[in-house]
Amino acid sequence: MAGLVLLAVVAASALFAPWLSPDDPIRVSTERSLKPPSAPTWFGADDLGRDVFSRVLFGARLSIGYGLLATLLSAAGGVILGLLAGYGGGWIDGAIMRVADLLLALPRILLALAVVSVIGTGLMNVSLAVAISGIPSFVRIVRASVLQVRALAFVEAARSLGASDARLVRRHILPNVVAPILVMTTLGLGASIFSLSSLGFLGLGAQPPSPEWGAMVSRGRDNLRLAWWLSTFPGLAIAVTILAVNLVGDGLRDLMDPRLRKAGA
Amino acid sequence: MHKFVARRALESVVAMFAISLLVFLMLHLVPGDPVRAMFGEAGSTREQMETIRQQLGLDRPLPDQFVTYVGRLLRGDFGTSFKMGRPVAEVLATQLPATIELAAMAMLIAVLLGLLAGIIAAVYHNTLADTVTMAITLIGISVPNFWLGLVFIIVFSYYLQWLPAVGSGGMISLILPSLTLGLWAAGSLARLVRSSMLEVLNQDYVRTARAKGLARWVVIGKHGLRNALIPVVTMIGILAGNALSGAIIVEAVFSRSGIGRTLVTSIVGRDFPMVQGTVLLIAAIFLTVNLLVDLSYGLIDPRIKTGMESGTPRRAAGMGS
Repeated sequence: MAGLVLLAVVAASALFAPWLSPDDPIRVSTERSLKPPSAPTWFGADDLGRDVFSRVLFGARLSIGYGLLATLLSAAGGVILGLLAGYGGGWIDGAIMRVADLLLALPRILLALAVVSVIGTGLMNVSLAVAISGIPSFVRIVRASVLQVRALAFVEAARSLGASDARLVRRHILPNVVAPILVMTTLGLGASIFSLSSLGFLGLGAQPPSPEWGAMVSRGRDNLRLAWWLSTFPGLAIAVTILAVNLVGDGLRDLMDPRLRKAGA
Repeated sequence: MHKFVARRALESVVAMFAISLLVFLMLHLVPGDPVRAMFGEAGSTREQMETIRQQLGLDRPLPDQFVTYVGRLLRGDFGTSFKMGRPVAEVLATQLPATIELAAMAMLIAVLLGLLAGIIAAVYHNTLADTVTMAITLIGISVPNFWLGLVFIIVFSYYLQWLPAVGSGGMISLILPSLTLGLWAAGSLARLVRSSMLEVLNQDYVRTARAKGLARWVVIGKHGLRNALIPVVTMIGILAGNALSGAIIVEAVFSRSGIGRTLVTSIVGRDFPMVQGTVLLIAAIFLTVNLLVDLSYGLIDPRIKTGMESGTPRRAAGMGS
């Protein structure tokens, strides 16, 4: 519940950033360079005098927006491949699962970094890399759920009535595997935002003057001794967002399927 | 037991081979011309690019290239870094110790704190100690490690001036980076230890042990912890791998040298042989750690050893990564 409230606050700040923020996030103003947090500039100003509070608000759009995009792409890829593996069976199943297991055996950030090294840097490419690195875990969950549903009597019944494969998948299998996919998507969003901001921090994602949170934390590092607020607030925003998403995800998981309780994201 | 060891070792070798295939393909998946991507449009003449293409063997058929590639890997030849002009293997050999040092120290912190916090939370289940421990670990695993590192620098280096903020060398400069890396792992470990212990502590044999008058901590240690350990050891293996990849970020935070720094610099500089070598090395270490974890099950739980002899080891179920 606390998670939902927190997530609502975070989502609202992203949606209403243009109305909530007191200043233009990329407006430079030399007279307030490195101004500490105080009444008009709540989170202080950075080395170029840009309002950190406005930047964090606008950054929410980038970090959450691209995080969501990456997660949805992972989910889409995972659902397609997971359905193919679970429903198709045979050598398709074997081939897909071999590759998925192999990739799951590697740390996710390493996988994302490898993809970035191939397709290049930038916010869009980094999101794509995060999306690809998230596919294997979706494949595994979707396949396991499909295998469970496929064996149930109503699927057998529909098949014996002459339903085509496409109809079986669309009408009978997919609706029954939505719950685990939804839970996985929520928990995956937290992981995506984390990976995205990590790559942003490493300087591979959004380029200046973009207020992406990871990039902001990284830039703030240059003036850390003089201005603690530069890195602290965007970092706090990342932490709060991930915490909110994880709380909601855990809640959803317990709500929808107690059996999933141990299969973490 | 021998059969199981042999089979798991073989599986790891096959996995490593498959990963080297993927890493090999990386260079060929680069959109457009990888040589051009590496050197940019302006930097080099047509002849220079042609020479490099020949050096990399990019002008030969793909399967042919792969055989040569694997042959070189087996001889420890990872190619030559474009940016540094030195053999990749040599660069990695000089960078690896710093990363291992960081990851090992972080895991030590993670195991000590994680076990302690998890056991306390389980033993004092549903008390204030449990709630507080779980709240701290939840926050701990939600905080991005690069940010935690910077907060440590602000507090301990700039404000309190106790510890150096950046640099590598000596135990002092290892404290903040390994804490940054270790606390996250400690958080996830503590949560798992707690749930695993709770499950075991509710078993009949634990009640019997208590009933026959054994001291509380003997029961918790010998009957509880030992039986709760299998999923925990699996998790430690996974976390050790994550510590290695987390080092990529923590090294950047504290400006430490190591293979993580090397990897990021090489990605930015599009130094493909260096990237390929580093990815292979991290993957190899990761697979080795997982292999060792699997092999350790038999030592922790003799019941599994019997299971292994019949060919099908029982692995800890329901583990996420």
